[in-house]
Amino acid sequence: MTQEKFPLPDSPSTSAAGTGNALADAYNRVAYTGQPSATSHPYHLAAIGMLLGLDVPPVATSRVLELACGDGANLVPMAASLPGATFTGCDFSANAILNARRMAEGLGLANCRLVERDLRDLGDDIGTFDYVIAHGLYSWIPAEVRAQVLPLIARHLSPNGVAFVSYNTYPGCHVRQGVWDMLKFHTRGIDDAGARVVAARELIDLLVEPAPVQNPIDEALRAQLRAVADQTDSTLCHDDLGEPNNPFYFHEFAADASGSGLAFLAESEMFSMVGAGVSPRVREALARMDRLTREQYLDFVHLRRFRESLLCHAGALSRFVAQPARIAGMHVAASRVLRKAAASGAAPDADPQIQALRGFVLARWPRTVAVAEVIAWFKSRAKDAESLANAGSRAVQEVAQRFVAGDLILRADPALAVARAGERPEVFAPARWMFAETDYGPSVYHETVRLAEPGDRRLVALLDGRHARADLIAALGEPFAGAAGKVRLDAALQGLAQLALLVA
Amino acid sequence: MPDSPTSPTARSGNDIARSYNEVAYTSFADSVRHPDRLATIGTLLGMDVAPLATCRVLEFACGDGLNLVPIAATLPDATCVGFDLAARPIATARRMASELGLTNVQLLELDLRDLPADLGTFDYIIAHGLYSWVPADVRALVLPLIARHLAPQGIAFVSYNTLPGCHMRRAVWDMLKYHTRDIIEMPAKVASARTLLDMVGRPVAAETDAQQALRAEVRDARSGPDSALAHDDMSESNDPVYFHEFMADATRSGLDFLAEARLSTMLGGGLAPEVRQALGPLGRLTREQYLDFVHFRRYRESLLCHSGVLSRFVVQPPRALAMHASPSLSLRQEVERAGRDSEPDAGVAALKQLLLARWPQSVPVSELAAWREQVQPAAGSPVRPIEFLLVEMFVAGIIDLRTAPVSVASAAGERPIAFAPARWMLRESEFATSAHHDSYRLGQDDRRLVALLDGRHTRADLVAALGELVAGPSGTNRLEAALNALARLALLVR
Repeated sequence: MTQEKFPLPDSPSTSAAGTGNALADAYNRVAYTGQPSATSHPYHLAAIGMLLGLDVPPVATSRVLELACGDGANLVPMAASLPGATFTGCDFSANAILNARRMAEGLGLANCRLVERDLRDLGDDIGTFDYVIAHGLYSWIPAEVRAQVLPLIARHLSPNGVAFVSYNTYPGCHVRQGVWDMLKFHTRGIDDAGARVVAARELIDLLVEPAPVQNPIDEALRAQLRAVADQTDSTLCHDDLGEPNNPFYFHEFAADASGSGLAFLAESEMFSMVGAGVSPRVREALARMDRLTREQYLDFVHLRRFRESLLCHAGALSRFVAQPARIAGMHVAASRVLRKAAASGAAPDADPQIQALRGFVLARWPRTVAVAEVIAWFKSRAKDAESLANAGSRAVQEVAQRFVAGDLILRADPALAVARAGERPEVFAPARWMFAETDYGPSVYHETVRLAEPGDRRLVALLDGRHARADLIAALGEPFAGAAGKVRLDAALQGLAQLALLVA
Repeated sequence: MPDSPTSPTARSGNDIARSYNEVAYTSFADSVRHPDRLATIGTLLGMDVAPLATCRVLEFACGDGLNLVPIAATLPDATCVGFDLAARPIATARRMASELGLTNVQLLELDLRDLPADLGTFDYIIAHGLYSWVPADVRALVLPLIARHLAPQGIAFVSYNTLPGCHMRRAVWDMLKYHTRDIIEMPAKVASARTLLDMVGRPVAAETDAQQALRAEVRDARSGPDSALAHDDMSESNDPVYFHEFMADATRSGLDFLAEARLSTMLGGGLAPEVRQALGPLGRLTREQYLDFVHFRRYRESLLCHSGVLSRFVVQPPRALAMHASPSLSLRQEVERAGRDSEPDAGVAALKQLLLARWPQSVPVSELAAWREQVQPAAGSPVRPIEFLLVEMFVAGIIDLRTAPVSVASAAGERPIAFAPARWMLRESEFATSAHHDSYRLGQDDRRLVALLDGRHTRADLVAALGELVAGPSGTNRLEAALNALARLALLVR
């Protein structure tokens, strides 16, 4: 691919002396450690758009923009997995952008441009993008900045593009809001973000002690405090002490979107739209509502606290109905939910067809299965001429349903993951880069994978495709010595393969 | 003073009035809202409060008068003024006052924005269920108006919803507001709200702790009566505040925080020692705020006085020596439930026994002091002065202290008389206010009996009038037991 020209000089970095922007200073002082988020990956956005009838731009050669990309833990691994696409990330924290650039440069990526920039200063000259990601932004900025986010997305979204916007929602956030208010009051006079975190932890220590409450229901607030106490300083600082932090009702977000010329396409976790686990009476009442009202009432029923909504241009679609035939050329894999359920020995689905499809994709994990292959497999199982004739449409319908239900990953292209370590095993490069610094990194599917054992991370560091097993044993020493050591190494490599960390 | 005409004022005020007319909001009495409780706390903290018998009482948003009218009935030489925005509750309150023959209570249909400046000052002002349930522009007037009409040594009672506790309920309020946004008539709003609560009250699969808690809150709202749903949960304005926000408003208005009407809430009871230690060094007002954090408080009943009236806010037990003591409602309920008092301290147990035995009469503290000296062991550990013990028990909510005794009968007389406001209330509802200003719910049979207790009926008349209820050989015993039970609720005055 040709490297695009980015007419985007950075705004002058003032991080050393403080930026004059309190919010940026807070992010410079206590870094917000980002994580890969599979639900924001262009492949996922494209799959949903495709299923619902949007002629989405091909992911492999698309243009992707991430607003508030932070340290690039979400964007840079995407760029690494899609060398034919171009990526732009912007953030107003100089430190975060420096970290992101270090990662992109360390990985030798030429398709990833990272700019230190307040989103209000993003000029029109950056052009349009097929996929726009705004994760952890909308609820966490002042109202006047927030008012610009969706219009900005509308301006820079290509005609059939898809945007991802996450935000905190009511009514669920009311429970956490009690905690946020108290932390804010307690730390109100403290300027330094690090000192604020210390003071917040002091208050939490006091408040988690049992005390009588006027209403037993309020004990839930103490549980929230415990949950907050368990968080990292980074999350505590920017999510719980984050100022601003404004949850919204879905209807408020939808009003902002439609005012900006955007339409709600779907929720990135589509299964949340189907009312799973809801009693039949409630489901019936929801079914009578129109699309957007139903989304709002689903939030009431689920007392939802967070959303990841996908938007497209208003008018890009007139109906929002799944069209399974459109996914016939795509690829599927077992989702994390499905893998977890299978690993924990969850009861099989009552429907043998669903169970068979699940087994089929689970057996192929960590590789993808072409939907065409699923169709062929359905045909091979057809018992008579009539079911053979219907097998193709039944197959795509079933795949679409399993995707919406959260059982399947759906993507335009096959994944690079391998099921077995080769002669000279290689870990997905961005994962290797991140595991050198932290205990989590992206899988080939852009899922956040945690490696708690330092031994595993030491192994990952060596899996750059240049070391044969003998080299690995020599380098890692004792734990992998002897005959048992070789078995252990194979097991460890197999474990990494199952996490979709190994590439060919 | 003439009533203000029922002319429309600002739109919001008018809408509030209509919603209260459509679904009646039943007020009720609570001893914590009686001027005597305010006087007791003010006195203990060092104020020179106005004598209760001849005091002037003002109640903001008095509703149907079920708090104010019984106060007027127990204090015939006091002057009571109540006002409310809604016409229908005021008409009910007026009917009650006039049928009870009270001439010391004025009830005005009035928007507080129209409160006449020449209304005068009052020794005790009560604003219950108002502050956090009115639009911001009205709320901004509440404390300044209280300051304007509060006598120099006066005390005001203000209740309000507080954060952080109310965040849980707020989720319910938001949803109800959205769901019923296009419905104008309150009864239809309530019906629609119930549909939503039915829907959202049902759990979904695999709930988190937070979801379960919110779900419980939804079910809690659903279990309430229509009047609570209409006026508490669907109040057009319902803005809980943090204590520090309330105090900023009070300070701006020239008022200071005297105490919480339920003093026990200021103690930090049930707290871990390290928490108590951390709260110790905090300033008075800051400690109150952090107590709300620790208790996740959702509601307050705060007492205010003029700024500068007191320089220290420390309880002075010797001031209790002129007061009167009685067992608190919670002590009485606890003893009734458990069958006995489980007090480990023998001296305290004896004191409780004495107070319980004398109930429904209160006992002068001076008498208790004399009694203590009598029963006090000749030798042994030094005993705390009685007034210290009593104040401690009052602050802990075990006993009530009063500045004036209550006129109440310990047993039914020959021609028993029920507390007049209670008799009046029981004609129309199952709730009654006692001579001690507590509220009780009574059954059908008791209501029939109370209706006859007007001082004109002997036991024989009662037996004849009640018919099958007290027929048969054990009938007389049943009647005596019923009369006795009413006396124990402080519902009889003769």
